Amino acid sequence: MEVPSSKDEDALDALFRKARAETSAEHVHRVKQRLHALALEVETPRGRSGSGALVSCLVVIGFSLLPAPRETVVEHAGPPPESTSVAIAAPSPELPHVVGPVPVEALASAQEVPRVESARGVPEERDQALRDRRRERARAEPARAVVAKQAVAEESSRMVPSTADEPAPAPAPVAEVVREEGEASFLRRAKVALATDPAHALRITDEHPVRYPRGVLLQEREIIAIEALIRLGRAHDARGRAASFRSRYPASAHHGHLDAQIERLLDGSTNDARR
Amino acid sequence: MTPSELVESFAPFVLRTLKYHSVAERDLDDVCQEVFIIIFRRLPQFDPGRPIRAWIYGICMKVAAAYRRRARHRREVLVQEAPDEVVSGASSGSDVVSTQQLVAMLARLDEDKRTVLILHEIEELPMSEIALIVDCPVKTAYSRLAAARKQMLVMMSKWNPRR
Repeated sequence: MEVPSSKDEDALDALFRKARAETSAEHVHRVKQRLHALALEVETPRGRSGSGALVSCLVVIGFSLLPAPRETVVEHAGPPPESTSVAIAAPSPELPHVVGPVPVEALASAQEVPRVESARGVPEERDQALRDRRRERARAEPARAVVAKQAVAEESSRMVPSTADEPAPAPAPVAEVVREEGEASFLRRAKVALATDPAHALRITDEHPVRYPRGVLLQEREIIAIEALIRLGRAHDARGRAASFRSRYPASAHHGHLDAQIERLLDGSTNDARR
Repeated sequence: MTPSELVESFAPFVLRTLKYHSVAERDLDDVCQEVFIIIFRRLPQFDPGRPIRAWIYGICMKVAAAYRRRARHRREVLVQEAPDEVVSGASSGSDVVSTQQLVAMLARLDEDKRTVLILHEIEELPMSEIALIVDCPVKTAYSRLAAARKQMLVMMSKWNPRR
């Protein structure tokens, strides 16, 4: 066996130094955006609006508990708590434990469940009524609906869960508004951008989980992202993402297309440093 | 501390912790998001008498472990296991490669040692705080650190043959 030398020691320290210096501002930004999209009020813009905001936060957080049919999340009938936002540094004892402890795994697998309604803990009829009301309003005022859509499109980062004219049951519109905005057309833009500006296409796919935290076109997004990576010459990343795609969606109809893409575009690629 | 400040001050820590506990780069955003959702959800139960970093670290570890279990089910390769695929980081000068090498090496340590090493070398926390986080006597933390470094050095010498 080789004996470690002081050179190795220096090299190891250099590795640690590099790890320490690593800046992840971009990551941090993305994480903030995502939490925003989940209405966690990371920026606390509506934090002062009182208990409604808190409840809506907790409800939305509750969405991530999807797999477990627990009813502990929303039915919070007691007096409104004093706290305004998610109540950070000083958790007050009066704050009711609206959400019970749930195993980490339950939360961990939450994102893979596309349906939102089932986990709301809200009776199905009320849900239906809400949807009907919204549909009616949309029919009556198409212009306003369009404006709302544009607003959402322009301000992806400010996805607060209620529109200006409807302050009451805040959390429901999150998913609805986002869904109405057209996940498919959003991704279509990415696909169109692939040929001319793959970097832009990749950015769009990066933005997808932020805009559509409960989106359903995940496979399509991945395919576009992989193709963008290939076109950008990031063969290693493309391969990693493709492998991840295959294991996540073993029965996907996209495999043939994906394999062909990888075959064709990675052939003879020299851009990848690790190859 | 507002939620925004909490994310601002701890997201880099969470990201690094996840990364060096074998969460693949491509999944970092997702897993980090999971961690913060749990943090916000459990905040009311947080005991302010405890150091918040230790608490957050505990959450990171649980989420990372769950992630690795899931990945094993999917038979994914999270880090490059085979040493010959990892070019000598020290001599190649490529940040990506050296980070990969570090991740791969750390993945070979057992969790107790890895934790102490990461907290000491990368997060640069004082040993007393590390002992608190991993819940062991300070002396034990020191001996784990020494053992971890020794193991890492052996790996380095194998991967960077210069003699």
